[in-house]
Amino acid sequence: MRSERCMQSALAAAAWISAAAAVLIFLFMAVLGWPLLGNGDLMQVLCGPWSPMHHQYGIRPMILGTLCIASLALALAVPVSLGCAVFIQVTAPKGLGRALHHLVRLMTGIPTVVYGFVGIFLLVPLVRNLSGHGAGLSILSAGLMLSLLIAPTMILFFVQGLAAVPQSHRQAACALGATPVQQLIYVLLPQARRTLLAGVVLGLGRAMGDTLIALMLAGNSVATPQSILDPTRTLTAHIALIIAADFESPEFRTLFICALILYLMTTLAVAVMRRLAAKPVEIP
Amino acid sequence: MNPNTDCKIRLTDLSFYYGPRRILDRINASFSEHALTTIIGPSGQGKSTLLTILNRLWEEIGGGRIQGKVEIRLDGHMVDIYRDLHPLDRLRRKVGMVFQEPNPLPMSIYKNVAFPLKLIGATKDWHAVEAKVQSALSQTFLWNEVKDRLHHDARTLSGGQQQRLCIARALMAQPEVLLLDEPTASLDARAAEVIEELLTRLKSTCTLIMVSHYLEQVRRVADQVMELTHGRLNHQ
Repeated sequence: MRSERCMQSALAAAAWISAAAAVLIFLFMAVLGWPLLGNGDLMQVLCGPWSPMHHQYGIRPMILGTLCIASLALALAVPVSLGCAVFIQVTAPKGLGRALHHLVRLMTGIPTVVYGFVGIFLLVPLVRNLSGHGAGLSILSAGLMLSLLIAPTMILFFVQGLAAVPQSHRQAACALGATPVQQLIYVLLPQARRTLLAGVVLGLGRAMGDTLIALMLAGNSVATPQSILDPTRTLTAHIALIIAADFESPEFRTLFICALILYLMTTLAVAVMRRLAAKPVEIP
Repeated sequence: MNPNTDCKIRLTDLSFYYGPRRILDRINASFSEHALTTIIGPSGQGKSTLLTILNRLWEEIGGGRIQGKVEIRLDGHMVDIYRDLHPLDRLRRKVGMVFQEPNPLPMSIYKNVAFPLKLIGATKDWHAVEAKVQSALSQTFLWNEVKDRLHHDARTLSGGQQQRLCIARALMAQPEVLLLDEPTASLDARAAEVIEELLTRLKSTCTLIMVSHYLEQVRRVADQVMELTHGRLNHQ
């Protein structure tokens, strides 16, 4: 009884510490970014261009770069991951499905820098040659490689979600003559929706938070991108590049705003997905 | 039994294997049309497997191998369901199945019953769908119990009601054969009695094959009894 109480207290403490850490990180960034937030420069920082030579410290190009690369990566990764998860869990012969599942697990362990190297030496020249535009370091290159990076995690989530659907429900649909596609549409996807959305949130968080791929493949240009073949700089890459600046400089202060925006974007994405997932599970 | 008209299902030298293990051993049997045939026998002898062979549901699990011939009279023609190119979805609609545990889908009572119509894209005429749902629920003595809560989650029904709902759902596809895998095993005596009465009535429209462990029940409802032991099916 006592050990159970101790365990409950320890678990509650762990939960509170996690929640407090999230709040404290937010406060830390807000306090350190306050000199910029407080003197009315916020709109200029959010909407202006980045040109320290002209005392302009706007991060609009980085916000756009982050949104473009993360959206592209997600748009590519979600259908591919879902298709792969359905193949592994539903349509593939058992042995092949298991082998693919192991392969996907293995992919989650590959360091990001390896994806970056593959991108630089294989993908960037390919994009450069096919598009005939610039050096190949672009939103497209970073988005493609980032989709490959986030796909394994999403596949594992999706597989888990599909596997959790009670076998009896699939069996019921099957016995009524449902084709594999109908089983997928009417039984598996609606019931696995929460886990599928959790996988998408995780993928989005990873896509927005990744630094190395963007740093290596996006070109790090501070100009506002006009197409997916243009180079860009993400908020995370910007933080990594500016971190060595003088602590008191305005450049450095903008980093906290970058971090705050990343934090808020991720929180917003999680909130939206949670709202979608909160609807009761009912087959259409 | 007149073999040309009364025989609904014919098994010829039917053997079934899971890996190296032989579950069914060269079974030869016939099942009469519009009759309730019960299959009895000790657990683990392959009774449920035999049912899933008749609608090819075992193929979804995999790992099995079949030999021999399974013929079912569908739409007036004897069809070898493993050799003739009969579409699987159509076969499963014609040979419906009710499982030991009721398995309503996580949707309303109404949508559960209308689900087979959705699968064949026959839900455009809402009046016709409503009429069919009401008819199926009435056939399974469920209409009066659920007519005021058709849009409630089907999982809120009692076990007996859920099982009758599953039978109503299977009937929506207008099956010619209904396979029942111990349909009253998880129900109390009263709920089981209602199901038995329902099955007796269904014989006029369907051929019923039921696996049961309850000999009293078998005596009450069965027209034909077969015992499955050591992979062989024997008439009683």
